[in-house]
Amino acid sequence: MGDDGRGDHLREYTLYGLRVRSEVPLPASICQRFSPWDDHDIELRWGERTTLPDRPPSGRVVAELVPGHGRGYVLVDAGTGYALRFHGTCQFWIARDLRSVWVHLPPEVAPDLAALLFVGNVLACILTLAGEYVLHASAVEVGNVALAFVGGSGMGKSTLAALLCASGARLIADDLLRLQPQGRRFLCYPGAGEIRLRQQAAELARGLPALASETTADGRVGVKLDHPGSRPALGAIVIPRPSRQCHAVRLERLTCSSALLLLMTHRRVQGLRQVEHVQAQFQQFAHVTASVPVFEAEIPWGPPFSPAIAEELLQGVGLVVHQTETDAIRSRG
Amino acid sequence: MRSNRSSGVGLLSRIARGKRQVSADLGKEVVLLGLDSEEYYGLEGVGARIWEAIAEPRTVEEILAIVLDEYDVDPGRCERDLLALVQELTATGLVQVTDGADA
Repeated sequence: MGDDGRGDHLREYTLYGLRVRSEVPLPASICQRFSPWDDHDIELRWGERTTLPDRPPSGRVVAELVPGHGRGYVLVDAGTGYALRFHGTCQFWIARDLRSVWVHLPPEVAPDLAALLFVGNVLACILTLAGEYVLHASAVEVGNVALAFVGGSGMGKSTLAALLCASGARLIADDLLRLQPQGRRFLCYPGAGEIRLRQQAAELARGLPALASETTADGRVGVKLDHPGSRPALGAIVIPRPSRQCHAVRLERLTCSSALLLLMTHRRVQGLRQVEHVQAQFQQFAHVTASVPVFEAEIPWGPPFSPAIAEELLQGVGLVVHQTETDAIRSRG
Repeated sequence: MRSNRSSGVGLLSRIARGKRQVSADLGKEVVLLGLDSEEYYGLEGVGARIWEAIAEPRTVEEILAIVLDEYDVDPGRCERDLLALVQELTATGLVQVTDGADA
């Protein structure tokens, strides 16, 4: 096997309800040897290593993000498929039917960065193109109900999910949450089974029932955790506002319109240009906010992080878990 | 006939929802998003009914008739408020004048 995993056998992963057959080793905890007779939803293959040209891929721009810091990305509809360029990093080619993906790495880029991008941004784009419900969220299961933390980068989604997991909850997904609408309920698909913590929240990793931990390609602490096998229904959404001034969690339930605007502000795929995709997202978020309570929460921020945050959050959103249930959850982990 | 000369919108103007907008009906409120301006706009009550009415292109005069028929409002004030709203929505691109601008 080479340093980028080329020559590896195909492996099969279950990510967000998708069966992904991949020749690229993915940071996903559910992994089985590929069975050739099995069907799959997406296949990921290595493409040729190539230097990325300065000019953007040609075609209709579907989404483009040029942040003030960082390199951004552009997603282009090239007719026969989609080109997803992460500027200065790598490019993914996604077939028109969204079932086959190739990753093209420049020689100097580490392959595990491509794997990280695939399980996050690339799958988010594919799910969005497919019209699926996608939130920019980390989510945990508490007593068979899901609590999701929605927000942009650095707003504390993973940190809060880790705090809840340290208190007995189970990780559903980190940084990307796919929902399946079922009447007025929304079921949450499990993600990669890994939570990625920034260095300032790395202390939380010690309190987690970790299966393994490692430093990720983007310099975070990746902690692999046990998965719920089911798809719990989404019980509440919290949009955190970390604060070093407050001393206790303060929650405010948002109106549908305020919640809708905040979900749109913190979309997982930013910079969508085409009306049809934005309209679909807008309608989806309106559907979610009409059915699921959405709270904005001011949260005392660390480090150090108070373990009381988890209980205050659960009580505040009405997901109180009785002690015996908490014990059961803890013993399960 | 009253018209708003600064925006070119009058009672005979035919208006429709803009092409670069999306909207969501939240029950008591309609939320609009202008894709180019990236601004949100909330409409309640009569405003939401007007938005519903222009799912198909209509003249402002036709919309005024709908509102006067369904709501107990002063006709003069209703006309002024309607023209002001249409002007505002037109300026943001949420509504477009399709033809028949104030003759």
